[in-house]
This record gives sequence, C-alpha cells and structure tokens, in this order.
Amino acid sequence: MAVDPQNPGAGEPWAIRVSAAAREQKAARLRGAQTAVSLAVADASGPGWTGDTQTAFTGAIATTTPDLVLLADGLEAQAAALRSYADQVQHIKDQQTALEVRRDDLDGSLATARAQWLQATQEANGHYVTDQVAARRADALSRDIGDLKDDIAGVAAGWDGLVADRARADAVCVAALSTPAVLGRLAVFAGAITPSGQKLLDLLTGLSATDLKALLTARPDLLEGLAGADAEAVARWWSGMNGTGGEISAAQAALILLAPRVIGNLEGVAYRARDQANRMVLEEELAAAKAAVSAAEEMPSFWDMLLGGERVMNAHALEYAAARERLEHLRGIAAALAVVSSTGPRSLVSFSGGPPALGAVAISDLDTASTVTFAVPGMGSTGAGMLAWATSAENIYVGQARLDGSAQHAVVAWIGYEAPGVPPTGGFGVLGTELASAGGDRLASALQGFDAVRTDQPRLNVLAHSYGTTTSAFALTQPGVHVDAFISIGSAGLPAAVTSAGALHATEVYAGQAQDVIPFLEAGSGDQWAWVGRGSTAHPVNPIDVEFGATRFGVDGGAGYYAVTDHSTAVSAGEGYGYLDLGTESLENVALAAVGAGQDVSAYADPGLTDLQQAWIDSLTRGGAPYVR
Amino acid sequence: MSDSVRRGLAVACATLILILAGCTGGEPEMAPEEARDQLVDVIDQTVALFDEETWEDILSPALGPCSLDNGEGVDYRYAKSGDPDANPRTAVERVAALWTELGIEVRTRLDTARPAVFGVGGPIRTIDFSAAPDSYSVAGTSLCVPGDATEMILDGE
Repeated sequence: MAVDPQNPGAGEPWAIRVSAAAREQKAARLRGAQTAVSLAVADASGPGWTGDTQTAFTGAIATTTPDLVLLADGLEAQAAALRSYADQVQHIKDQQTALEVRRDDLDGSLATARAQWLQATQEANGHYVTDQVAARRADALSRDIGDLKDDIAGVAAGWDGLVADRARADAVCVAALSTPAVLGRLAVFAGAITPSGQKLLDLLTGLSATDLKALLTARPDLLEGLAGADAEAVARWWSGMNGTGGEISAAQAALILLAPRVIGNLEGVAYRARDQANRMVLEEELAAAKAAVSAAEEMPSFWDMLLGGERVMNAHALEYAAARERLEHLRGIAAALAVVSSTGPRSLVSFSGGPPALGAVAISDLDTASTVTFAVPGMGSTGAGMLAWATSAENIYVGQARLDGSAQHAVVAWIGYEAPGVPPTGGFGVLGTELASAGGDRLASALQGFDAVRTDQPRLNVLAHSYGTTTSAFALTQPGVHVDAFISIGSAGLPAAVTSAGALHATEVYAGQAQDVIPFLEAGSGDQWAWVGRGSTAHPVNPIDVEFGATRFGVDGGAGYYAVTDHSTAVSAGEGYGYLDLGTESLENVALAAVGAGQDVSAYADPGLTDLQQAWIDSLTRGGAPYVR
Repeated sequence: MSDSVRRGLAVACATLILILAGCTGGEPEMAPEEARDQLVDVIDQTVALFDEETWEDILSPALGPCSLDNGEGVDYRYAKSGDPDANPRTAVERVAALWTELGIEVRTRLDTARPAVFGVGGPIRTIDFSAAPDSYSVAGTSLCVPGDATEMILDGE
C-alpha cells in the first residue's frame, strides 16, 4: 500500500471507525449466537430427549461453537486494529492541515518580501544617486527572505515526516490485521512460501471448516502441495477430521468443495469423499467438453477457408475429432458411474480429465468391503471403454458373490493409466514398457493408498488382463506394495526382470491363458493377441509357464463352463466368450482366486499347438512332409 | 427411349420397390426392454422351481454394452442366489428340463461338488445355474440387441 506523498493524510478516519464499529457489532452478535447455541445444547442434553437423533443434533450443533468463537475473536481484533489506525490517520491528517496553513502563510510572506525587496533594490540603485535608506531596507528584506525559505524548508521536512508516519501506520495496520488474533490459525499461511507434504498436513491439522474455507478461498492452489504426500499421513489427517460416526464433517466437506481435484485423487482420503470430489470435477469436465464440441462444430470463416485452404480445413477436422473423442471418453466414465444395480451406488475413486481422461470406478463400497479387487485392463483401454470394463468388473463381483455371499466384495474398474493403443493405428507402444512403467507407478500409489485407508486389512487383489499384467508387474515389484493375490489373464508378458512369481509382491500368484491361436486365421478359437505381446523383448515373461511358478488355472472350458475364445474380456454376441464373460471357466477361477479359495481353481492343461500351427511347423521343418508321432 | 426400354425400366423400378418393401416389412428388431424381460422371465421361472422367498438379487438387471455385426448393441445381465434344497443334482436336472422347454440348449455337470447346468440360445444369450452345497445361484446374459448403452444410461433413452 503506497502512501500518496501529496496527501499523507488521505482517507477518512470516521469511515475507518465506522468499519471498526461494524466489526464490533458483528462480533457481539456472534457472541450472542454462541450463547444461544450453548443454551440449545444444554436444553437438548436434558432427560426429555435421548437417542441417536438427540446425539447427532447436539454433536452437530456443538461443532459450531468453536467457529463462532473464532469468528468473534477475529472480528474484535480487526476492530481494535482499525480503531488504532483511524487515530493515527486522524493525527496525521491534523498535522497535515496545520502544515498546509503554515506553508500557505510562509508562501504569502515570501512573495510579499520578494516584491518589497525588488522595490527597495530599485529605489536604492537610482540612475544618479544611491539611496542608502532603501539599500538598508533591501538588505533587511533579503535576510527576511532567507529566513522565510528556511521556514518553508522546515515545513517540507515536516511534510516528509508525515508521509513516513503514514507509511508506518499503514504497515502497523496491515501487520495487526495479519496476526494470529485476527487470522486465527491461518496466520502461518500468510507468508509467501507454500508448505508441502507432511509440513502442510501439520499446518492444516486442526483447522476448522471456517478456517479452511477462508484459507482455500484465498489460496486455492495450496492443497496442491499435498501431491505425493505419504498416504498413511494423509489418512491420519483425513480420518482425524471425520464427523460423528465417520460421516463427512464440515471441514472435510469444505476441502471437497474447494479443492476437489486434489482431494479426489489424494491417496489416503476415504473413498466416499473422493467420489464426491471426483463427481464434481467430472461434471465440470463434461460441461467443458460439450462446449468444446459445440465450438468445434462451427465451420471456419469463409475467408479463413479461402486463404488457408486445405490446411485450415484439416486443422478444423482434427480439432473437431479431438473434441469429440474427449467427450466420448468422459461420457464413458460418466455412464459407468451412472449404472444402477443391486450392487449399490458406484463411486469414482480417482479421476483426471486429461486428455486422456483417466479414472477408476468402484463396484460396491471400497470403504467397507472385505475383499477388494483392482481390475487393470490392457491395450486400447480408454475412458470411452469404462462402461464395458466396469461391466467386466461387475462380472467378477457377481462371480465372487455367487461363491461367497456372506462377504462384502468390491471391484475397481481401474483405468488409471494411459494404456497403449491397438496397433497399427494406435501405434506400437504395446511392445514397449514405457506406458506400463508409468502406469505401474500410478497403480502402486493406488494400492498404497488403499492400505493406508483400510487399516483393517481386507483381502486385496489385483486382476490384470493383457498389457495390464505388464503394468501390474511394475507396480507389484515396488517397495511398500503388497497384495494378497495377483491374478493374470491373457498376459501380454511381464517385464524381463520379473522371472518368477516370487519376484512379485503378492502372497498368491495366479495365471490363466487361453489357447494361443493365429490372428485372423484361427479367430474365435482362442487368444490371438497375448502371445504377440509376449513377443516383445521388453516384456517376454509368460506367467503361464511352469517355471514361472504361478498357480495356473484353466480357461478353455473344462467342467462344463464356456471356453475363452478370444483375447478380449468380453466378446460380442454370438462370437464366443471372453475371459470375464459370465459362465466362463475363466471368470469362475478368477472369482475363486479373488475370494481366497485358490485351492479350488480348475487345473490348467496345456492345449499344445492347434492343427494349423502344427501343420505350419511341419511344413517349415520338413518341407511339408506329414508329421508322424 | 423406346417403349420396350421404358417397360423394362418400369419393371425394374417395381421390383426394386417390392424388394425395399420386403426389407422394411420384415421382422422388427427386438427392443432392449424385450431382451431384458426375456432374461428376467427365464431367471424368474428358474427361481420359481425353488423356495422363492430365500432368493435375492446378486445383480439386478444391469444394462451394458455389446457389439453387433452392424453396430453397437446393449444387453442385460441378471444374477440371483438363494438357499439350497435337499438334492443339488436333482435341482440341476429340474433346471435343465425347464430351460430345454424354453428353447435353451443345455449341458449339465452333475458329478462334482457343485453340480451346474449351462445354457445358450433361445430367449437368452447365456445362462448358468450352480447348485453349491451352501447356496444355489443363477446368472445370465440377455440377447444383444441394437442400442447405445452410454446414451441409454446417460440420456435415459
């Protein structure tokens, strides 16, 4: 706040005092409200009303008392600071007025003296004689002028002093309005340095809903400092704010409302809170994506098309396609979230708008389930496919519930990483491990977050398909990550360094693999793509190999179940079955492993080569001569 | 244009109109609700073979996406479980008989701890019934019919 050097007494002290008085009145009203709340709690605590409702009422209303006290204290401190400031400004204003009067007088006297001196000088220096009287008068006037100039300089120095006094008064007022008495516990956030991690958690601990609202309104980016914070520390901080019976408290609600993009993805925060935050962000992103599509539907102007020609049209087409794709991804996630069934409300336990939009949709309640399975898909998985992937995840839920109806199961359709596209149009990222490594980091973080939130240690599984097994292997080899079971289906190959099941941080490791078949030529009779993925030198390890050491289970239709006839997890009508279709041997075994009944999975039988594959090998090795066993 | 050519064109047009009329007048496509109701009906009839009051939804009829040769489709999945009765093997045979009567192709698995029957075709796409010692359950998938699951869910179509 800079001081105007021409007007150090600027401002109206009476207006500042009115502002202070208004704060004092508000503080008085708050003190009155606090008394009323205390009386209400006392009344409600009497013998006439008991039970859960009474407890909830008194608990909820009592939580408002600290906020009321905090607000009243702050307002009174502000009023005191403003009254002091008004007095100082008034004093400066009075001195300024006196100096202005003095300066005007001196300026007038100086002008008069200068006129008289000029006249005396002219009289003293006549053309023919020197007037001694006039000369002495001129000398006296000259001294008077010097004295007057000194006086004026004194006034100017006094003026500068007032400017300095005002600057000091301003600084004192700002400091007074920033003290803990005024800001409460927010005073520590007044500095320019943004704390992060554990330090930020420490500073946030114990803040009331009012504090948090004030803080996050003033510093909307503050919670970004929590990214990467230790999940267990976050869980302690978050659960420490829980409302009665573990409900979302006013402080937690404030955090969700004001920082949904952080809270929705912050590992350690309870999943129902993350769901609320992520749904808000998803709505925002959907609205923005719809607006982007509408904007992209507008054709370029005639002149742009005329001057830019094909380049402008191509750019417009690309912009439109990108906008449409983004909207489809977001709608896929929204649709998966909106499915209504008896498995209970679904929840969006992580979400980022991207592009690409990523998210994780939970079937059933992650905060309370006794078995939880993170389902990790493979190549070609995007937000647009979330509805289909959540359907497959729900099939796992159904399989588990049929086997063990007494437990509460939950399955997470986890598209939390950027999966490689389907070659050739989607590139050849599937042959590398860059995306799997990055995805593995994200999955590891999600699993550690789960451990931090669910300290009651429910059974935790990772089910992965195709390139999802590659990604999961990266996660399950990280320090601090451990699951009860890792279940691989149709693996596109684990990283070369993961040579055995023992390298994975999983108590139990399972693998299911349909018959390897030749793409297109043998379509519909087995898995045509998994072995192609395992052809990569970066992820060549096949978990179905005996030497890998996983518990191998059948998927080719033993014991009356349907056989997997395709690499997919869900196959189109009339074309066979995918790994997670209802009624398949694969789904049955996945469910058995997930509920902890892995000893009952049906055994894997190596199907060997198909007739066509055998014939090809024969023709290559013996020039087409029949193979005789 | 000669009369013969004109006549030829007229005949060709009439034939085309008849073909088109034939196409549009064929069997109407099944609506998603109909596919769902067929699945629900089969499962409800299956449950009716037992003590219905003990049966509860594992998964109430849930809409999902599927693919058809000529475009996107939708289907429903539905699953229930209930208390077992005295003889799992007999239970499976009764279910198999019902499904066969409903036009479903069945195969049974009787000589295991959890006898089961699997069915395909007819009014549904797939269905299976499992008679575990501690619980019976049935789960099925409806026929895949034309529709856009995302639109139906989000836009209530």
